This record gives sequence, C-alpha cells and structure tokens, in this order.
Amino acid sequence: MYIPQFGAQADLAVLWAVRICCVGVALGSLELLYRQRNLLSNTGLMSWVGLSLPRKLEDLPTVVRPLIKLMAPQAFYCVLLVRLGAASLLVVSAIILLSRSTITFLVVVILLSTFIHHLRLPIGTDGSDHMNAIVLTTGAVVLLVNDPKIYVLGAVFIALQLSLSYAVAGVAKALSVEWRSGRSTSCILCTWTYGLPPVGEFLRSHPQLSRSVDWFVIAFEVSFPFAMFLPGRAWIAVLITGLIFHLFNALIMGLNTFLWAFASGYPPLVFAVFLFKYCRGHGVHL
Amino acid sequence: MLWLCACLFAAWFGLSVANQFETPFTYRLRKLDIFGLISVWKFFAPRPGIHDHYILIQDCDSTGQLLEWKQLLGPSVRRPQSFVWNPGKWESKAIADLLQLVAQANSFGRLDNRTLMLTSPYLVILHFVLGQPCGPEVVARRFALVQKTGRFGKVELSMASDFHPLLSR
Repeated sequence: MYIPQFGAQADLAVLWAVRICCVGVALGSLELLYRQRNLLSNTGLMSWVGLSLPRKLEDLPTVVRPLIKLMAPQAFYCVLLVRLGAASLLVVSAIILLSRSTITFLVVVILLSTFIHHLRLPIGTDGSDHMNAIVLTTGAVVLLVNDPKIYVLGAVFIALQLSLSYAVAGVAKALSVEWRSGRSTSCILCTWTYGLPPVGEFLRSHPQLSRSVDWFVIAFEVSFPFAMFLPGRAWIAVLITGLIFHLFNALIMGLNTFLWAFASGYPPLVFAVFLFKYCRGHGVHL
Repeated sequence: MLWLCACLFAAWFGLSVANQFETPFTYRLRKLDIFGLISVWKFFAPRPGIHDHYILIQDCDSTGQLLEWKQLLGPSVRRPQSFVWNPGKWESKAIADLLQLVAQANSFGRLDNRTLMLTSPYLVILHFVLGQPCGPEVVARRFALVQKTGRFGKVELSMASDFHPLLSR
C-alpha cells in the first residue's frame, strides 16, 4: 500500500537536504575562488598543467570529454562562479519562492559543476565533497522524475548513505589499535592541519579524557544507524548529538564544509525515521 | 520509472557498501567512479592523520652556493572564524594528499630518487615548486617534504629531491 502524504514530506526532506548541502557547496566554491591564485593558477598547487590533467582526461569516456574544456583555468573560474551563484540561489529559495522547474534546473547545474569539480581536483577534496555529490545526484534524479514515490526512495537513499558513512567510520575506528588505545583524537588535534594544538595537548595530558573522547566517537558512529530503532523520541537525541559532533569538528578541526554536507543528510534521515516508525506501527509497507 | 529508480538506488547503495572493503573488484570500481559518487567513509581510520606536512625549498645560485632552506608551504594557521570560513584547508589537504601519494609510490616499489621523479605526485610538487618566485641569482631549486607530529613533536624528512634547473634562467 502506498501512503500519499509521505510523498510531500519526502519532497520537503530532499529539498531541504539539497538546500543545506548547497550552503557547503557555495562556501567551498567561494573558498576556492578566494585562493584561486595559490591553488588553481598555472603556478598553483593544484594547477591544471601541474596535475597533468589535460593528458589524463583524454582517457575518459567520450561522453565526458566535452567537460574537459571547462577545466582550463579561466573556464574553471567561470564554473566556480556559476556553481556559487546557483548554490546561493538554491539556499535563498528557502525564503524566496522559486518555481519547481527553476529549482530542478539549478540542482542539475550544480550537479554538473560538482562532476567537473571532482575531475578537476583529484587532490584536496574530502568526504564532504562525496556527500555533496550523493545528495545532489539524488536530488537531481528525484526532481527530474518528479514523482512522489521517487521522492520517498530518494530520501530513504540519502538517509541510508548517511547511516552507512557513520557506521563505516565507526567500525574502521573500532578495528584500529590507535583508536582503541585512546590516543587518536589527541594526536589529530595536536596538528595544525586538523586540530588546535592547545586542545590536543590538553587532551594528551588527560589520558582518561582522551580515551573517553575516542570511545565516544567510536560508539556514536557505530550506533548512529540504529538510532531509528530506538523507542519513543530517543532518536532525536542521537541526531542532536550528531549535529553537535559536526559543529565541534568545524570549530576544532576546521572541517567547515563537513558540517553542511553531513547536516544535509539529516532531513532525509528524520523523514526515514518517521516513515519507519509509521510503517512499523501500522503494519504498512510502501 | 519507479522500478528503474529503485534499482538505481539499490545498486548504488550496494556498490557503496562493497566499496568499503579492499578487494580487486573495488579497485576497479574506484577507477570507474570518475565523478566520486561511491565514497570510502573511513574518516581518520584505521590510521589517524597525526602529522602536519610541509614543503621546504632550497635554492642554488649561479656560483654553486646553496641558500638557506625555507618553508614554502605548511598547514594554514587556524583563526577563530575558521569554523565558518577556512580557505587554507584546501592547501593543507592537497599537501597531505600529495605526500601520501609520494609515500605510496615510494613504499610500494622502493623507488630511488630518479624513478620517483617520474611519478605524478612528484611532478605536481615539482611544477608547483619551480613556479614560485625566486631571486635573479637562483639557477636551480630542490624541495623536501617534511612531516611533523604535533607542535613540539619530532620532525621527519619524507623525501628530498635533487636539484632541478629553473628553465627560465
């Protein structure tokens, strides 16, 4: 049996996922444009010529090859500008009414720019870019098909990918001797790359606290996918913990775009929890 | 269309799960994933990143005299606003990625410096290093990749290149 009201809620969940994700997309594009001279110019660390991309990209499938023209320095700046503009428009679409076709068009444009971004920058990108690609591709598919049932599928899919990301990160840490020993977080935070050395050194001088932090991260990540099975409203506490976790990662580790990329999976996850609980309570299946 | 999308999402999720394991199939899969849609989610695990990475350069003038080593690139200094605006993370991540690629190239084949020069991460760093400004007397430059553990931790040399002529001279 199909429950029609869930189509509208899934639609909302996916749209909010895309909007939140676009905050990170806009931020990342702006950061790249701001540092384009150091990173993307012909003498930059990720220069077009330096990465030998023109040569490497010739091996790509024929369908993708036209995108190569958009990766040369000037063209790529334009791509970043378009990406920034489209993502900003989608973010403000929360308060300014945009038609469904405009939103779909913007999501497709951002998705294309995400593909170009991924091909152009084989180094320097991180997990937040992968999460953005997943949310945007799913968003583009469901918006193009524009069917309530597909919205439900899309929202559940994003929720599953988000749960998978936490579970895998948690299990990988649980299997790691370094993480189990309770020294990992303090060591990471002692670097300038992903930490704040004063915080890292404070943790290092308090081994019990350091161990607790490591085990908290492992326990949180491993148990995250099971949040939806918790009774009552306990799952809300897990989601809030997740958001606070990402906020701390942004504050202490400087992972600003991770906050938006992973937070974008939360509206679909909330939808999936409600759907799961409704179906379990009413013996309904989609 | 419903079944098509259901199959698409199911296959995508199945491949995402499979990609978390290190198998010959997933190595092939990663090569095919040109748009980064199938990720590996092992953040900071199994080995957490506990180093800051630096690129140092040393110039050689026309008389053959070696100038002081100097830091070309290192981790960006964190500012209070970094939790919102952190453009320096792109460079930090790019250096970390390049150093990891150099280390991989070096450890798998136990390459000597001459062979290592032909690997792509080496060439990327070399292109960057040679493109940076230098004094009129400089005719050649070399670089070193250095990693440091924490603020007061030990400094390790990952690799040092040979001197490369600055072609414009």
